[in-house]
Amino acid sequence: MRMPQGWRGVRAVNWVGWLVFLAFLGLWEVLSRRSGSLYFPPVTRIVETFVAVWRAQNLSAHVAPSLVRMGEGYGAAALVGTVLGIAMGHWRRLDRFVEPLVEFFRAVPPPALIPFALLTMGIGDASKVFVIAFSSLWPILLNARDGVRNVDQVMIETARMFGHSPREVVTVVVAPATMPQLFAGLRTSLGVAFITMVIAEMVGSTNGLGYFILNAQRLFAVPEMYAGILLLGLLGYLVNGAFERVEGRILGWHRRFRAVQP
Amino acid sequence: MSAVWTRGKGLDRWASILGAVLAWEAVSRTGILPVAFFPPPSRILLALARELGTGEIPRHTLTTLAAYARGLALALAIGVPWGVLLGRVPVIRRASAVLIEMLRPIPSVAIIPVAILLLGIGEEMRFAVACYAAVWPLLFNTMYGVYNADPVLVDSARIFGFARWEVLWRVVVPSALPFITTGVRVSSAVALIVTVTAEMVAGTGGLGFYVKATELGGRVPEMYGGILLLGILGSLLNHLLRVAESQVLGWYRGAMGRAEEVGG
Repeated sequence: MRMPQGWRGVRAVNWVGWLVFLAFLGLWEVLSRRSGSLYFPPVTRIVETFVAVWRAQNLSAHVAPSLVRMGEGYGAAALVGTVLGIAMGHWRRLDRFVEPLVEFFRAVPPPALIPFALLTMGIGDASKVFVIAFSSLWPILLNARDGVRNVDQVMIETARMFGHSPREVVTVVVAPATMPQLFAGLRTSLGVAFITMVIAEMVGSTNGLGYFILNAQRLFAVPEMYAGILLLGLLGYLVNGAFERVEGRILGWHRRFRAVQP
Repeated sequence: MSAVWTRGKGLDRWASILGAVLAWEAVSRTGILPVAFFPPPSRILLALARELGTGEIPRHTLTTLAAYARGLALALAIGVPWGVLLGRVPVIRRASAVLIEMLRPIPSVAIIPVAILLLGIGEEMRFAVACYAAVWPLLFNTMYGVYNADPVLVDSARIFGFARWEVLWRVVVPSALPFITTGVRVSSAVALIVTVTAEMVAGTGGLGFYVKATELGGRVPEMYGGILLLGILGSLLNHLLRVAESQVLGWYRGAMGRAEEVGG
């Protein structure tokens, strides 16, 4: 599958694209200043507010809790999802038993779980971490399972024939071969964890970025609201970039391997 | 392969769900888990049935489905043509790439407060938010599918004298169909999530509002009933779309198969 040309992965700077983007910002600025709209403050005002709002105090009051929650929830999901997924890929009996439950839980929209979590775990961090972990568990789990299941049997047999012990077969063949698909799941779940973090903080929290944005709206602090959304976009970008780096480092061998394969 | 895998699983499926329900019932009735927070499934089902009878649940379900369906439909009408445009016209693609990439990392739920400001807390707001969230997966999937349409097929159609829009309509869009249907499924899930979130944050109705309200009101079995219904709704919608997809793609695979046969 080719990435459309002119999108990403093209080294040349996309001048036209940047020009359009700047034109968009300029148009926003002009229209906003002309109309004096309360709901669309000028871009310059949003940027000013962004700089003023996101200083040490607010960063530790709202951004840090968000990131900690997301990290804990996502980490737990990655751990449980990988272990359980591999087990399900390995033992089909377990898979048969667990799969129907997985199919149901996966279909429950994450926000629906928030009232349940608030009721049983209170308004503290635990409820948010639980909802984040619960929603981001499924892509990891299913991808880990399919990854194990789809390992090339010929490779396993070959390794066995060359006298590798079952343990070695797992560490040398099965684990690396599962890795690409596991990472596909981890990537999907990262987005889910990020969105669920925002949702959980909007619905039942007194701090965090989700809360900050919604609260700013309720107080009609419109530039602050946009400053929060802007930071959220920035964080989304950074988190994704960090993931791509880790993935590139761990899966680099796989890409190179694929590149030389006929 | 997956067909073999799912065969003979029907019974197992229900056995494991039944097992989980019975285990919960036992754990709740014996008081291992506090009944106030984890009522037995029998009571949850009774509460659900009662609320179905009063018309409370059907009303909220319809409200949710209306915002979801309208949002998804409008997203289709916007996302697919736009995706085709981005996939086929390099100038437009280059021009909008940066702007779209800047908007993309913003999680779509973050748009809810903006929508509340502009549209209030009614149904229009939820519809708009669902639509916004559902546009992106459709847009990107269509763009990828259209961009990767087999150039040989496209050129052949051109050589045979098809007009531009005919090439688009008869060759490019059909060959992007598997991508578009994937986009529809992703968008459907996203639209439901965002609709329910919006209902919780600023709802005046809908299942999200219902679940939140019953939690605040301490009507715990009703709350679980609402969550259960949302889970069923989610899997039902997913299942329906999968069936529809296999119908549509069945035709597609048939056509592609024929094309290959003809091509030799």
